[in-house]
Amino acid sequence: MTKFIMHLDMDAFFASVEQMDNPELRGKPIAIGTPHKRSVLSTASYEARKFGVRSAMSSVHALKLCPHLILVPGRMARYKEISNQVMAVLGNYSPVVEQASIDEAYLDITGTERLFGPPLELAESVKKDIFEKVGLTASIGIAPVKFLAKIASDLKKPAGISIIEQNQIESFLETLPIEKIPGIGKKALPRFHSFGIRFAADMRRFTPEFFKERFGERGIILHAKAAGIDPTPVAVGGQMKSSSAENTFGDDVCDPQILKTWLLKQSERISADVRRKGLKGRTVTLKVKFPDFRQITRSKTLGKRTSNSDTIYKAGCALLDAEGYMGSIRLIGIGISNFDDRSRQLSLLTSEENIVDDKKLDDLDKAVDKVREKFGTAMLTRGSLLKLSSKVKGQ
Amino acid sequence: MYLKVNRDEVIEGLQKSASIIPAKTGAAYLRTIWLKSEEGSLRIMSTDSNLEFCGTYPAEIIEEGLAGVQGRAFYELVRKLPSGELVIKTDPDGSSILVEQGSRKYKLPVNDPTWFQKFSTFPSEGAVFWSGDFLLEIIERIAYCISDEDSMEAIACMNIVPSSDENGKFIEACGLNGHQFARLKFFNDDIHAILPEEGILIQKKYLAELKKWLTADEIEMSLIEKRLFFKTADGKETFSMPLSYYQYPNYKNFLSKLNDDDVSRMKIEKSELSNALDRISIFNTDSNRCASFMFNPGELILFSQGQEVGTATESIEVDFSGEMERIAFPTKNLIEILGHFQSGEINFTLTGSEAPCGLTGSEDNEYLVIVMPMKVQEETYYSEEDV
Repeated sequence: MTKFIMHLDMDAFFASVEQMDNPELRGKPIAIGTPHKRSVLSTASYEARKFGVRSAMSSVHALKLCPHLILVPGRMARYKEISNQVMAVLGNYSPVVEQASIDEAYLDITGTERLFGPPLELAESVKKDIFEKVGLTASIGIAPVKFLAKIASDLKKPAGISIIEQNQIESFLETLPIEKIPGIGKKALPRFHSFGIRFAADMRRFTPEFFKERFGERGIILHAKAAGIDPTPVAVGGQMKSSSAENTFGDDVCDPQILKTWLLKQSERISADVRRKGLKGRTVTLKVKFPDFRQITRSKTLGKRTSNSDTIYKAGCALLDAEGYMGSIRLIGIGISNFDDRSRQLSLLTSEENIVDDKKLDDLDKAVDKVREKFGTAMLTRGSLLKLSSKVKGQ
Repeated sequence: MYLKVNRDEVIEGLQKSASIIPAKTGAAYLRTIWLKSEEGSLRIMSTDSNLEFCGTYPAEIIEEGLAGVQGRAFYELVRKLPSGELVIKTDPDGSSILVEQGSRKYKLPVNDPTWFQKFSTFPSEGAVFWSGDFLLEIIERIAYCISDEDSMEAIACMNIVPSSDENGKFIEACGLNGHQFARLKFFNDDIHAILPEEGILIQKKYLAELKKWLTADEIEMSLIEKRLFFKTADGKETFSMPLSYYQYPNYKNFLSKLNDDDVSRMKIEKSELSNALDRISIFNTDSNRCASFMFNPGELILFSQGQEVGTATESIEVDFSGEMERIAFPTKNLIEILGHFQSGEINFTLTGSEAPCGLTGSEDNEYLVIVMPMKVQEETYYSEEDV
């Protein structure tokens, strides 16, 4: 049976939701962001993209390119609501759905032909169904392997459908720039170019061992991908890989105490997020961006998984302290990941006392979550975060 | 300084000296190997500010003196030179050192001699003789269980502690990393006498350096507050390191569980289990790195499965007694542990499917390893909360 994986990507998702909810914005160039000098856009509508406005662009630059650009503050709760509706639609077409992000999902549609017709027909039905139920358009890519399905969904945006059949893979890879292969980023790209490798098919001139020697185990995976081989399955339930929060400061901050207060605020946000999903993570990552846009990330893997804000915050502070004084900082963020911990080696040193402490912290978090759920997040705030509350509104 | 020395006499000492100095980072002082010519010998000294190495080698001293050279470069140069006599002398203004061997001539800059700080002297009083061979064995059998994390303080150290029971005095060398624990008991009244009551803690990173320095030959060991010294029996070389002062975890807590009445016991052929685990490990993945042990009367069933790689099942004949039905261990760790036993037959003491498991060898009674099992969670997508 021919394997088919579908990748669905909602078109300009956040901006499209805003245009759907507010008819006055339809047909106009809009972007999600604030006019603040350091705000960065998260999404731009297709009308704005015609002017060169892109996501991750600073608002100031975007307004220079498109002076009549309408900036709309984001509404994460609304986007999540719509995202859930989209995922529910997808669940009607395949039992194997992996939500890759808020606006992206993979479906294993192998063997669904008898129910929904050939893959192209199925893709048309999914697209139509989403538009009817949610009111938004999506782009779809279909291929025998996951990473090619993702690349395919990007070929005919917006609202397009692309399919790469098994017998088309070879010719497709001949013209696929290697930077399109997941795992080959800006850093690795010059090394590939130095070997005369510009397109995926070029990698086949070398052996897997050649890449293993230079890039480790990852090299073998990249070589396989360049040949169109990707055994990564569509993972049901493998929904969230990390949860993170970050803030760009209005004015650069160098006081470690202020930075730590932000870390506490962010730790509360991400811990609540993972608790809502019933997850616990082991790896805490600190992200720092400097005024010259240089960025560093530092990670620490904890002894055991956690969803506790204090534990995440303390790990973040330890990472920050380990860096020493860093001078002015433009952005600070913290994330938690490494949720997949179905089997772990038990600790020899976990005393009854520690177990009780963990349970107490978990119970405290549960109580805080319940109060906030009922009365709103602002109802219960840590004393040490009060001084930030006014600033937070502006971020 | 002006001396003549045989290259082969000093190369080993130079190599040991160079191995403890930082390669690139750190102050220039720490990257220095100090050469001191005095009383018919050449002293080679180096430190990384914690470890100290000092070796004394026969040389023809024409003029006494002291010079500090860039350690790596000097060692590399001597290493690459053929056997034969080396002439080492400082130039008249003391800014560089000249190394000559026949027609080969090299000039290396020297550091300011005022940088030199006195090295710790081996405290002869109370020193005891010990077997380098046995100390190597202790390090080999304990260090792999010590935590690699510097920040974890006491559990990043080997604990050597004097103890006694109804059979007399003994010493315990212990290592612990939070998931597994190794202890080797040995008898040595001399060492027992010089150890403080609370024992000593040696950091794992220093053990690795000590292992490089040690040979099977006899050594002298001495102890002062905060520092541990070793000297070769011929007195040529000394190696010293700082001791750590943390509270070592109370391992008696989990050791005592092995003596509970309701433990299960399994006796198994070591090589048979190791080989089976080695095959089983092929079926482990990043998210599932354990081997499940299922016990039947007279039989152990090993099982592992991994997404995409499939499943593995093996059955081994064992002596088994107790109620334990199932337990899972990290496959690679268990293979490593088994490899440290000399005995061909291993005894498992299982205290619970989520509790410590003790391993001893039938002919290896003084060596004990405790390993914690894996907690294998079934995947749960939805959970209900008690109201």
